[in-house]
Amino acid sequence: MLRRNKKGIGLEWYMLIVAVFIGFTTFFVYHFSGQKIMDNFIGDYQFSILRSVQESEKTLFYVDQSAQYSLEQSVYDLANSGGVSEIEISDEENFAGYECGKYNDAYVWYQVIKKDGKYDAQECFDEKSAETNLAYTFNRNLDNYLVSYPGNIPTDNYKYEFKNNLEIIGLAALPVYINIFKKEIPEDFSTEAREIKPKPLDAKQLDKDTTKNSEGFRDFTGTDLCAKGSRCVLKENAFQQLVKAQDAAVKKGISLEVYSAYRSSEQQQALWNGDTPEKYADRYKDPTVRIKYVCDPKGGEIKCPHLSGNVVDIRLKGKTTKTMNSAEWNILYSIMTSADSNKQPLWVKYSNEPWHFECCNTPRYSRAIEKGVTSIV
Amino acid sequence: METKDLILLLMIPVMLVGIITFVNNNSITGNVVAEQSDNEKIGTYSVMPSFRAKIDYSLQDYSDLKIKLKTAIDKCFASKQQDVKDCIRTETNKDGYNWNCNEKDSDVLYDFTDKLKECINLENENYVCRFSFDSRGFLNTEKPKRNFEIKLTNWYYPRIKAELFEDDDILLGTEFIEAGKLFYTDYENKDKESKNLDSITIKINYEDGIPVVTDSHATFKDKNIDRTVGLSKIFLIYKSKEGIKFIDERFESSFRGPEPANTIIDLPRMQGIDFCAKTGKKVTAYDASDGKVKEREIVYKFAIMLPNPVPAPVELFDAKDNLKAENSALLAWGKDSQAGIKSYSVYYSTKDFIDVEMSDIKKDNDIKKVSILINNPIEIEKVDLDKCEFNPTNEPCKYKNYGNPLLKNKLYYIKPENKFVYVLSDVDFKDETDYNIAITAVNDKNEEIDNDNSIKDNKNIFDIGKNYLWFSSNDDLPPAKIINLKKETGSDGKIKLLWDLPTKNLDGTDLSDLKGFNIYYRKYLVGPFVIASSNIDSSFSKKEIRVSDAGCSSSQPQCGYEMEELASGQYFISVAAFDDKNNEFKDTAQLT
Repeated sequence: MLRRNKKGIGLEWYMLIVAVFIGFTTFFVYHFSGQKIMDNFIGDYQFSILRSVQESEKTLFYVDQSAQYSLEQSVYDLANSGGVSEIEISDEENFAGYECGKYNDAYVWYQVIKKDGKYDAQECFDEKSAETNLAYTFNRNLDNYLVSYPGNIPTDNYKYEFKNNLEIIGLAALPVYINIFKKEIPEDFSTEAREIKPKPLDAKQLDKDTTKNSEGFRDFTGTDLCAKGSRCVLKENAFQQLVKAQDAAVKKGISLEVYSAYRSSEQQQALWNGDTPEKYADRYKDPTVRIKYVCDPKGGEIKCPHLSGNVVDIRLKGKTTKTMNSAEWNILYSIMTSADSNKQPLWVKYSNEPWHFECCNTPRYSRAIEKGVTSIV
Repeated sequence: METKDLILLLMIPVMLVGIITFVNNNSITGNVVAEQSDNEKIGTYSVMPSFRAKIDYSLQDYSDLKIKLKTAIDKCFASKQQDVKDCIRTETNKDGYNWNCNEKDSDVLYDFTDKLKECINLENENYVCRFSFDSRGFLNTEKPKRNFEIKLTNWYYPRIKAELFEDDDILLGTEFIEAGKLFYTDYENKDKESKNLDSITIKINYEDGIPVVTDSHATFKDKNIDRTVGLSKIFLIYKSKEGIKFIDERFESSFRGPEPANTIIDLPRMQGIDFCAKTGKKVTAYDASDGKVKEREIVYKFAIMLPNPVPAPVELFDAKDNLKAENSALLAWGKDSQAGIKSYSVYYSTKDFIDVEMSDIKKDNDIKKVSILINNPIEIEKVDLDKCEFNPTNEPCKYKNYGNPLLKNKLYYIKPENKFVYVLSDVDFKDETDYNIAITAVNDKNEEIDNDNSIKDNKNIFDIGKNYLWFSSNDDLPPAKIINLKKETGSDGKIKLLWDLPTKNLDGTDLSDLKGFNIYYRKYLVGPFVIASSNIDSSFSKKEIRVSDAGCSSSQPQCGYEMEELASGQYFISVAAFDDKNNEFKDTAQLT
């Protein structure tokens, strides 16, 4: 028989209270276990995507306007250079000059020669080349606009078509990538010049910002080591040598910037075939002449070392190939050829091009090591 | 099937096409790719940045301008204008458009770089190019004194960057030249050694448009220490296989001579016209000249190159007989420092060709041509071309004051008189023949004066007394001395003289015009007789015989003659050979 207290509350009530407590606790534990607290609202990510779409529309508008301005500027520039465009050294291949040269800073259209007592005006300028040259001039002008955009728009990225008088269509080869961020990042409207401050590389961040493929190539496009608008890919070993060189540069208070690295055989073939704004195949129809200006991909890595992924065209950050002075080329040379832990130079320079360095046992690198030099033809 | 069913059935493909078209037109501009989320980034949106741009403009302008330019060039050259430049300018400006370019400050740079390129492009090595800045009146318009600086720096091999600054810091123009690296050199080591330079600085002051080079120096590194060296201010540049070498100021005088060490050429001769044509079209563009973006007229800038003028007519042409030599003449003319003279051409003929066009002269087989390369002429300090002596015989005679012979087909440079002398001895050139002789200077493209009298005011013609003359050389070379003269007394007591057939002239050349022999004889009075040509005097009797009389020929090398004239007694006998022109060496072979 159950014993009651003075107030008449029996044990069964205590038991009931405990049971209810356990029941509620169990309910809450079971009910809320496995549930996460949402830090955004429904549709937040979709908004993020829409922000990126909006950003892309801005980019496309910028490209459209740049193209319009570039076209007018290019028409003006090309006329000023008599319809001729020489391929400058800032491009990835050799300087391709105008065969007949200049007189008083004007490109020569006719060379009058005397032959067998008769005068003959020999034609130097083919007006049909004006379209090709306009495309090349246009590409340079457009690139100047594109690298000025806050985002990273690929340069040298177009196949051009001309229609009527005068319409240009630029067909992009590579897309513009716009990151989709969880939260909107406020735009920096400051008008101050962006500070180019050498900073040591953060290995973890670098790992995140770059991608490594199964063939051992590292794509570091868009990082501080790669010039804006350029596509930068290197073999893993070469990339690590570059990182070491950058570390050496930072110690000297400067930064390096790669503007050309690995080139696929398809890209090289496109250069050779004239499918780029340089239009090498149009300029030099004879392959034996063309090979002086652009390497034939058939020559493989020996003739076209950029195909190896162990070659960089590099400059100091904040400079262009044209604005680099001899002292700066010398600094670049000393940094790039500084010795690694094995007392071997990180890179060796191709003597004829102060921006061209090779590493990692390319034929030129091996020859240089064998001869004990850090600059070699 | 009912009609409505049929209509509905037909609507299906129409709807499908509509849907497909709608999907295609409804552009999916971008592509979203989700990524493994990190703190901020959840994915990437990509879009192809293709574009289309259009302006109202036609590239046809280039064709139109070219046609117009070509028409003007052809017209001016066909009409044989002496001043072709002026003609082309007039023709291209005929339609009212002004194609002329305004002169600008940067022309100071192009004045320099054009001449530098001209030197680099010379085919011949080892030239010393000399050039100066042109006067530029337009520089006088803003302020009377302008201070410019041209800076050359190694760009990347083989390019050199040339920049023009005013007042030390304002950049007016830049040009790149394919010239290899910058070097400077001294005289002694010009061919084998040169020093790499970092840069070259040239300062030019224009006062009233007249240029004066006030400074020219180079900087280079010597054991990592920056050093400076003064360079020639008259722009002597030594052209060699590896490029061009600027000449050290201290050795400037060495490069001015002596010949034949350097062939200094003047280089103000690049010929061309630059045009700035406008077609009235405008675009909005930036221009560095004012640093603004605004609507601008399109200016087509281009140029034509004209043939470099042929070397000017030679002057001070003269001819003399080459003394004591056969079938040769001494041709002399003034040395000119015109650029690019590679050789001289001598034309000679018995017929007059002073008015014959050069193209016809070259086709005429009766007009002979001799080319004289000017490489390494033999330098002479002093020579008397009117006196020549044999010392010894069997060698060419030696000219007075020079002490050496003037060898056939050789070019000499008489430095004090600044003239060339060439010993013409051609297979077709014969003594005692009246020739018309002309000389022209020839450049590295084998061009020379055209002698085209149909061109009005043409200066490139033959002119008597300057580059054309009449001349006939003499044969004053006697056969060599008779050797092996001996006598034989026959059974009848008659004396027979024997001697070797002479085969050489007195200068050792082959004898080809032997005509006969003079036999001098006289009774022996008192002795001993001194052997001297002067002793063959009027006291001697002379017997002249022909070669056939002496019974000798190339197959019978011993000559002989029986002296019937001699009575009994002792005689002094001397034999001398003479040629077609009766040249005889008096220093005869003698016999007693």
